[in-house]
Amino acid sequence: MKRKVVKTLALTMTSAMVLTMTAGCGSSGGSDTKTDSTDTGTEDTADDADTGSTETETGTKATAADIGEPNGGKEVTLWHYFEHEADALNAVVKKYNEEQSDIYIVPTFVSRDELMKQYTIGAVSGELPDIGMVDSPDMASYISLGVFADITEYLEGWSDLDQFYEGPLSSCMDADGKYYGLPNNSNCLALLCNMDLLKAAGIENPPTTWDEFKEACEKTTDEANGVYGFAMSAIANEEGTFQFIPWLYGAGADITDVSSDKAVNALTFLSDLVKDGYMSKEAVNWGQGDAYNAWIAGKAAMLESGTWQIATLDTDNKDDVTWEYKYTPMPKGEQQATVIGGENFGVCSGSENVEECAEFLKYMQSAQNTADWCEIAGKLPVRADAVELKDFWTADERYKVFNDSMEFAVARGPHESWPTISEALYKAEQAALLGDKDPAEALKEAQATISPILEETPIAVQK
Amino acid sequence: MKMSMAAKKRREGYTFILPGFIYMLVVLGYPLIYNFVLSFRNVNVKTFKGGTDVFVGLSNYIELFHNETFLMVFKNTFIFTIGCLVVQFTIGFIFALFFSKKFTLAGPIRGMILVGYMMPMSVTALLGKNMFDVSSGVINDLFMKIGLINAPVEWLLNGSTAMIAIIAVNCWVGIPFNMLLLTSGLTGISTEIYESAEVDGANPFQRFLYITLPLMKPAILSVLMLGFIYTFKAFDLMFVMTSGGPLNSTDVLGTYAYTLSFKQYEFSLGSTAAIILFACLFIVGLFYLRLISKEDD
Amino acid sequence: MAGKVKITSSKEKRRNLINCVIAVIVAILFLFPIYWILAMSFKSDAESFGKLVTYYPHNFTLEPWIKNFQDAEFLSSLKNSICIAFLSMVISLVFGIPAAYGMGRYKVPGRKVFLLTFLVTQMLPASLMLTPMYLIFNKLHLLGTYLGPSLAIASGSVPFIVVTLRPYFKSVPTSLDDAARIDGCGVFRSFFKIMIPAIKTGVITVVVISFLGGWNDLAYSMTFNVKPDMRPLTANIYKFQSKYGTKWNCIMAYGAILVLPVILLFVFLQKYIVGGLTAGAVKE
Repeated sequence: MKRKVVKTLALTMTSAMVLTMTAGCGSSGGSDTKTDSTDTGTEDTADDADTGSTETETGTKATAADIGEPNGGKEVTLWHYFEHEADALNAVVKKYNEEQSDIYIVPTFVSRDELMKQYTIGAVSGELPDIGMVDSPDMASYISLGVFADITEYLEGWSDLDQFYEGPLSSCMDADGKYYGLPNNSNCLALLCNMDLLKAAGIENPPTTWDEFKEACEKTTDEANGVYGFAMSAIANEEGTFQFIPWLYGAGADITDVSSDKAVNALTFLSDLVKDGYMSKEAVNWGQGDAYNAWIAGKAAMLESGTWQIATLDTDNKDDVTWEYKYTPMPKGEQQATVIGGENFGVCSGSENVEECAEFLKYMQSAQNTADWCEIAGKLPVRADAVELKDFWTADERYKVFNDSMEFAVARGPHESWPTISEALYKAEQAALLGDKDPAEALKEAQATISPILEETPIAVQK
Repeated sequence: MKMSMAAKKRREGYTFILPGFIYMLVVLGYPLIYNFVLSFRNVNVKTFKGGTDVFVGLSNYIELFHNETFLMVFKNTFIFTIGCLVVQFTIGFIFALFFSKKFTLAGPIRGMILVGYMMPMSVTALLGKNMFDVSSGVINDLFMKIGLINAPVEWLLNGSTAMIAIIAVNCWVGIPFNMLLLTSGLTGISTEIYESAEVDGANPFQRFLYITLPLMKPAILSVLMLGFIYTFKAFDLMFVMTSGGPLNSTDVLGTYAYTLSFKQYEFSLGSTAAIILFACLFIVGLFYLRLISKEDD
Repeated sequence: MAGKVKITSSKEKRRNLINCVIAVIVAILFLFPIYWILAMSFKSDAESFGKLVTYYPHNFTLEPWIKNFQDAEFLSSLKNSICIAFLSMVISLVFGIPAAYGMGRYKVPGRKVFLLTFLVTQMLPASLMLTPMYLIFNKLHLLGTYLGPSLAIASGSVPFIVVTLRPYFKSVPTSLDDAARIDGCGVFRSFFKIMIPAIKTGVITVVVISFLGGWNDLAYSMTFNVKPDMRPLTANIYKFQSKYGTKWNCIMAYGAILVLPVILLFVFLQKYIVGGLTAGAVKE
């Protein structure tokens, strides 16, 4: 009997030992990362010298050379999904790390989908970064889930607040008017035209109205060569909704009543483009980047394009675009409209340095820093006085189109259930574009989803 | 003190089984309970922060079964699973039999086609998305070149063809997997049995029916069982290749549960969908156990 | 293995040839996607999403590969992938094989409950396990370690091992371990010295499959290790799928990088794996 017990023990011990061995391997990996981030000193700098600029391009871990030497302050983590813009973000962080010694900010790249998942899990577990970036329409849900901390007390009395544009700023607030973050940058959508294709079709100027636009689509579509008049994203996620909003509001409709005649006109207009063969049905599987790639490949004459794509045109695809191109505001239907996009930064709940982090947000979004960073990263500033500091947004014709479009740009939400509203909308759009349902029927179903949500909690009215 | 032989054997048996059993309970018991509890409450974006969620009984289950999208997703999951199982098991079995013949290239080529199984699903799914693209996909181009089709098929733009496409991609992974497991089962059959059957005048079909199949039964059952579980809870493939689209036509329980929990913050509904998925598999598991225990006794 | 095939008559020669032709056709069908990955990975950006489908890179470029290898985190990701795959494999084998043996060879009371538990525990979709597992691993301080994702991944492999190896252990004739006992082998010695070698075929299969389980994991490793220097190779593929558009050539190059080591390992071990598969270790 005794021997058996010993043997049983022996086996359990063996398994336990293997476990501890593996645990050893694991925890050493863990402590690796810890030491890594605390003494970012020499080793990392050497690392960086080796790889040059390529590292930040594929952009993940910021090194001491990017963000400054540790300043003795408490280390706080900042999560973001900036890719091309990571360099510019690091520059702001570096400046701040060198100017003060309360906190030492370490930015980390986390892809957008992953970041959203981490916030959701973080809401349950309480494990969150100190500062987090978020796509503006998603902010309301995360505020509701308690991901972001209330920083109203640190922003009260900050006179700069008046300078922020209403739309972006409102996306950082809850229904009671409390602040949970600051908007970082804005973007919107405009029409990008391949002028070579337009001119070849006998059109000298980019279209300005829906009628002109449709005519241009018809003339530039060249089925034999696989060229469509227009490309956009109608994918089944927020991007699809984002690209649909300019048409919805352009038709004179709005999100509170998507089954109205005007809203049906908007969707009918788009689904007719597909029916007439001016736009590829594949739009329903295209993200904005995919639609952009189709335009770059010469597969579309016109594209519903975002501000951030100017930077890509100037860098990645510099050699691919062999034609003349022009940006123009989204064509006008009943009214002129486009949509606001952009990212916010908030301080996460549970951070031990809420005040210091809030101070950093104020620093990052000061007029000068906002202007500097938006110029480098190719963004639109979120505050009026920042635009006035430089002529960047007016001198470059392309940015000017976007900057001017902000006048009539519509914000999404803010609403804690925006993801559900958004889903109803892009599903309706997809159903119509795929010919599965007629636009009126599709939008009626969307409205059936949206109505009860908005009845319970209406979207705060903006200026 | 002397232990009876039976008691000693039992102790030995438990010694082998319990570490694994306890490990599974520790790692997976809690998640199971967690989802189970959530499915009976109403935790969502509104109730989460304030902790104002309450016990709601079966109402999440009732809500889902009255939801058209969910019913479609439920149906899709079965179509996908059964479609995949039929194709990958049949072809996998044929391959296993074929490559167990002794011919020059049997070994190397059997090894080669296993590559599909070794790819990370996320890469496979991206590859599928690229190859099944309507205008720039190689599948349409190839089919048109060899005259199989006249116009491009709108693979991922049409509900039924999108389902065919994801089944095809999944089978590219599943066939090698089935082949691998069935081959190992086949090698367990002694060649002497075949030889004596041949002497008795049994033709190849009879040999397959009366020798191979019965002897392979345990292996076949476990392959089908595992295949069912893995296919039924598929996630990565649809998530990356079609995002469940177009119009939920390739949405399955795994992806739908994820969407509910992580995209719409309907945590309770997401858990409910997961528990329903679990319940379906549980029933299949019980069925498998019955078959297994028949063979046991 | 191939060398052992003895071909004597001309009829057999013809049959051998026909089989080989069929096998080659099967191989072409199954390997075409792999070829496609490689072909795409050497195309330029524009060609990879261009209007025309090109069957080989017309503008051959190494840029996608260079971009991937220049990535500062490439080596650390590679290390992470290997560590996670290896660790999860070890955990799976340590817990899985003895359990499969115990359930295949011992008629212990409650064995059906055990089997059902092993089956049931892998029935929840991984995506819904993330949050509760995160909560546990957070409590156990396993976030940001290799052990966290490895434990989670192994929880999928252990049931797989139990279900696949159990029939193998059952099929080993009792005379074999009885003989070993008479020779004075203890239970554990006979397990290691007699039983495992006896079902070599199955063991090799589960070793390969549980290693791949870890190598291919994305969800667990990403969720439990947010820090960039702890991410596995599979995570990096997302860098090329963003609002700047899907970079097919880079993605495919990455796919190739992910598959190549496995293929190499496989080619290198083929003699053992395929040999093991066909040797029929269970035969008496």
